[in-house]
Amino acid sequence: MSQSQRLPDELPVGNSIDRGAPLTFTFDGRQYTGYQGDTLASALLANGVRLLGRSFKYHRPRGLIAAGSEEPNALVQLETGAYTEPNTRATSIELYDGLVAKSQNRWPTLGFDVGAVNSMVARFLPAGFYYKTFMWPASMWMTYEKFIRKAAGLGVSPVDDDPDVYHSTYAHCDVLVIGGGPAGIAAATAAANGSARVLLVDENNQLGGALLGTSDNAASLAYRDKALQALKQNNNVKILSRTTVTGYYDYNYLTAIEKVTDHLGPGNGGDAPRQRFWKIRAKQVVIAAGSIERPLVFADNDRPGVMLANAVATYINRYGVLPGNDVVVFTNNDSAYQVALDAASVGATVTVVDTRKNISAEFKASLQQQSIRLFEGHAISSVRGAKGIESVRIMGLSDDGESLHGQAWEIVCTCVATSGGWTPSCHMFSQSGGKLKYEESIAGFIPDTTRAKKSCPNLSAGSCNGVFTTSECVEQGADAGLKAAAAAGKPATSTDVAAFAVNETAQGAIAPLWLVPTVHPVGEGNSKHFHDFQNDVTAADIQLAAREGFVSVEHLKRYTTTGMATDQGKTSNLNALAIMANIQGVSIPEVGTTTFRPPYTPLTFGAVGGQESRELFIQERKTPMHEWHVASGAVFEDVGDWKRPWYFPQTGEDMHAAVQRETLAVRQSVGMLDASTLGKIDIQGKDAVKLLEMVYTNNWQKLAVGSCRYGLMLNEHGMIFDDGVTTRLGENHYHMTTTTGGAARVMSWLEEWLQTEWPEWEVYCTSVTEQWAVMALNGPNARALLQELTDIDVSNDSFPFMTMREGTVAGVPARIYRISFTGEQSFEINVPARYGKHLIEALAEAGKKHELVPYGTEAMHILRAEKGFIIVGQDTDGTVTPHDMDMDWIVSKTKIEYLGNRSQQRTDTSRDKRPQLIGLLTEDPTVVLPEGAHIVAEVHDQPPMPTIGHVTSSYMSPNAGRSIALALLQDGINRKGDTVSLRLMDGTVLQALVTDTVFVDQEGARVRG
Amino acid sequence: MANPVIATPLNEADFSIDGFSVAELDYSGKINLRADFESKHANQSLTKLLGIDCQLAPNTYKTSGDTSVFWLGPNERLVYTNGDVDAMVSQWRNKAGCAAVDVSDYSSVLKLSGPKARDVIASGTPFDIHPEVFSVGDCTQTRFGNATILLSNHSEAPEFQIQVRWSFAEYVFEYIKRVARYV
Repeated sequence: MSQSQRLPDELPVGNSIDRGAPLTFTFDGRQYTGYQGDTLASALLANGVRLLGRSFKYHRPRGLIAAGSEEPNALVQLETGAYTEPNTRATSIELYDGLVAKSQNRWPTLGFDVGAVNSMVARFLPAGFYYKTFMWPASMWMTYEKFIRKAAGLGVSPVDDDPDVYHSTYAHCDVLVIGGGPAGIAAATAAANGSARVLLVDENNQLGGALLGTSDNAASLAYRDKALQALKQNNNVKILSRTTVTGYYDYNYLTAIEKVTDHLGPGNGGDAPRQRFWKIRAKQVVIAAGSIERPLVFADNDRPGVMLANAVATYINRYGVLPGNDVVVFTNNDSAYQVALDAASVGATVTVVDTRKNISAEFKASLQQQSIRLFEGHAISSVRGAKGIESVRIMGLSDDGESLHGQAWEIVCTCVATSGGWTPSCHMFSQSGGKLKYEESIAGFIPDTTRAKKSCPNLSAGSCNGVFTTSECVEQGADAGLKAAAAAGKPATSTDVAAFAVNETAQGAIAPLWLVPTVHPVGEGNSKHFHDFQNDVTAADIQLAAREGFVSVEHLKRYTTTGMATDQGKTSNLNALAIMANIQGVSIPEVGTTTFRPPYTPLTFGAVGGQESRELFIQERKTPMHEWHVASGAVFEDVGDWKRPWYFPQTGEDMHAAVQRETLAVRQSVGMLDASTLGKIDIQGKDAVKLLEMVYTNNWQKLAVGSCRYGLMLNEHGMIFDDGVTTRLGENHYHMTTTTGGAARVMSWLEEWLQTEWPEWEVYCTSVTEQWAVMALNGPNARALLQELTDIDVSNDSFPFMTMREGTVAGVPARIYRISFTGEQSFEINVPARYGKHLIEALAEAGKKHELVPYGTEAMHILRAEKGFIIVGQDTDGTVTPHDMDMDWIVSKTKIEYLGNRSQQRTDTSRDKRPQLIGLLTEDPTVVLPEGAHIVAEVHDQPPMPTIGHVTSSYMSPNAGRSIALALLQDGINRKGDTVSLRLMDGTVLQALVTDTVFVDQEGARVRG
Repeated sequence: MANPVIATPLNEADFSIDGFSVAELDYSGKINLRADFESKHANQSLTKLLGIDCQLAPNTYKTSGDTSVFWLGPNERLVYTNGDVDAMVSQWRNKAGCAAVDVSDYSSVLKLSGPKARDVIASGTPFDIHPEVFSVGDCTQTRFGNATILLSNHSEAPEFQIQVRWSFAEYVFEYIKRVARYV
């Protein structure tokens, strides 16, 4: 298909495109041609495609409005399959060969859309419709939601895994410059003229900002190139194009997204990531984000062909595309006059409709030269053409701007270039916590530097700060750059940032006209005055909000949803505020502004996650024996971040069979468990024992060198928070162990108390968790097996229970702790981690004739439950005391002070009938209670029924020959011998006997044998 | 079993790509040392033992021969040595006010070099490693991805070392390999 709207090569326009590099692309199934350098928007426009989508709520036909990232309408579904991305702005998509895009929010086709009936029943879909209608009954929301989402949605999310890769990185700089227009380039140039580290970021594929879309810009682009060349040669400067700063957070922490390979098309980026997420810490920020033109709010101003004036100029000058052969420029300020001249100079028939009277003779003369008709004091009263504008009607505008009068003129046109003035982009300043002030002369909000947030030092420069001529922008930019560098402690000497030569008409005089009247009062008749295109919000909706009392700006926003779409109301916010101000009869600053929130433009979750996806999403911590476990067929369990062997199934075994076999073997022959993940802390210093006395509930003064003791730690509330065995290695030297999950927590706990309460104590704690690889040998054959490998005499007499010996095991240095979590004869062999693999291999080899069985965490859980040993975090939940655990034996009656002591005497912790740990034996020994099952006082058919306890651990115990469980039961210690009822989720009621917590070897003979 | 195989967390793995290399260093002895380094007595006796003055500026390290001392905190140093760790530890442990712990196996040490090394490190650590704030001889305890690391600058070439806990070594190594392709 021909590019009917592409201007001929002879004209001095289209400097961004390469006519020698044609590209083919597909939109809604049709193939088109564009050029390298086009955006999808400019290429579609070149091909005369004006209808690009259907609107969010009324399904009205929509076309392009803008040429930049502020575009509210032209959202497309880009690419297909796993690469598809919804709601991408056609104006921000760089064209590549083979691009495939689809229009959104239409069914069955863009031309004929069933949902457009919404437009006809619009009076029944007023603002706040969803809130009002679906607020009640709440239970029906789930039903409504499906239909609302379908009817009012935008694009479609991909369902397949994201095939792209992403990168996120940190960056630091003295001066971050946001925006690479004249102000930004000047700021970076000035700031970099010393030793400051400067980061210059721009969202376009080339820097230049507003210059890119202006006519006769060769000289200014040449100057830009010179300035950028100098910046690129400076090692302290980094320039990022295709990068949008999306968020500005406390203490000058900003985030930006760089589109690294998006412009190459899916799968064409090679090893490079698709996008990169920058996390930037800047000492100073210069905001040079430019400004965004506002549309005039007139009747049916959303028809395809109605565009922002600067967008028309950009399409002509930058891309060599004439949006329409007959152009009506509709403006209330001077800036659109250059657009009229640009359009006329490339052959368009142009008419200027200005809401103001008394246009200067100079302007009139220049229009006349190009045979442009001018209507002063006129406004567009209505438009014709639904899927593309065909003509406009204009009428005289009253002096107060409230009504139209006189004869209506019909002007045939295919494009309306509209300018309601310029809104400085204060998003970043507002996000940084700064407040805005209203500037009458430009009819817009600008940063109020007296109300900036001190912790986010920044300066605004250029048109985002309310100055609109290039020379002023450059001057402000250079000044801001110098100031920022100095404030960052890297003063720069003043530099020559000669003004960019540019043929420009700044906004100039403006006579605000926030709402253009029509022949009917606004809101009556069929025509609509849109101010928020993406969320389909009209002036009539604001009137409705005002009538219903939603006058506060934040209420207005939520009630009408204005500014809440993905475009964040870039083109709509000020018009909405002004219309509300007008209705209320107050000034615009009295209405105030809503807060700008990140992200400035939508960004992908993929980029935010960056490289931390898939196997790098969370670290998998592995012990030195991991390879052996894998080779031995272990099934792993996640314990914290650790991969621990859960069980080691043999051929044909399911989990139950494997676990039962492993559990039996430990009590019948010998088992080995990788216990390396347990937390270990080396404690040294003459006050070490004082620390132990404080953090544990029992006594430590008399522990002999070489002996081990079990300890329980409480928090300040008297609740159990960790447990473990601590061994006295030397006079003032201890080795503490903690639970696997509690390792880091206990280390911090010790350090916190030492640093805040007892800084004068001479005691040092060092984490040694990963210094040691640990294998626990448990079972009646453990001693015989170990004796084969060690030079230590492991006989019961010379190496009794709860002691530690040093020597060698399998030829490597080892510490052996004779401690037990299974109730069996047990030796925990600790070797430096580098010998861990060697140790397990040696044990496995020597263990063959001792019927050694590797076992995992599941068997370990059963073995300890058979003995009634608790697992902190499973049988405790942060609300249980030692007494609740029936562990009074470990609480010192003589110590005056230890952490959590006083809380034991609180009314609640010392009361009767608290939940207490007991054993449960089900009536039917083959039934294993579900963990979490409730013990109820009375059984009812339906909940609620009074709960008096719950099951914390429950297993089939091969050694007890039946199921066993541990539970917390109110007053449980006194209820041993009672039968209690448990009601399960499915309604089943089970009876169980309350027992002691020790199910195997009540005398404890095995562990000491 | 006289010479059991000594294994480091990554079995001394390495990886190279255009402009960047990473390799796990050989096993070396490491000692965590606690003392009041401001006290003349403690410092002098340690200096004598090590041959390096343990009074270091915060977040710096010093190297002499095959011994290095890293500042970890006001009263904490980390020593890398190829000497007899057991002997050194027991010598220091019994000195008044001193603590010493053998942490030789606690961690893996990776060497990162090549022009892209800074960008690789910046992908995982929020700490600023620009030479103007982090120069040769500097070290810092920071994070890389989800792992806590000890990062040190060893050459303007550039060359950095990352010390990471044993169980995080594979994660960090894989992380480095992945981002090396992206920077």
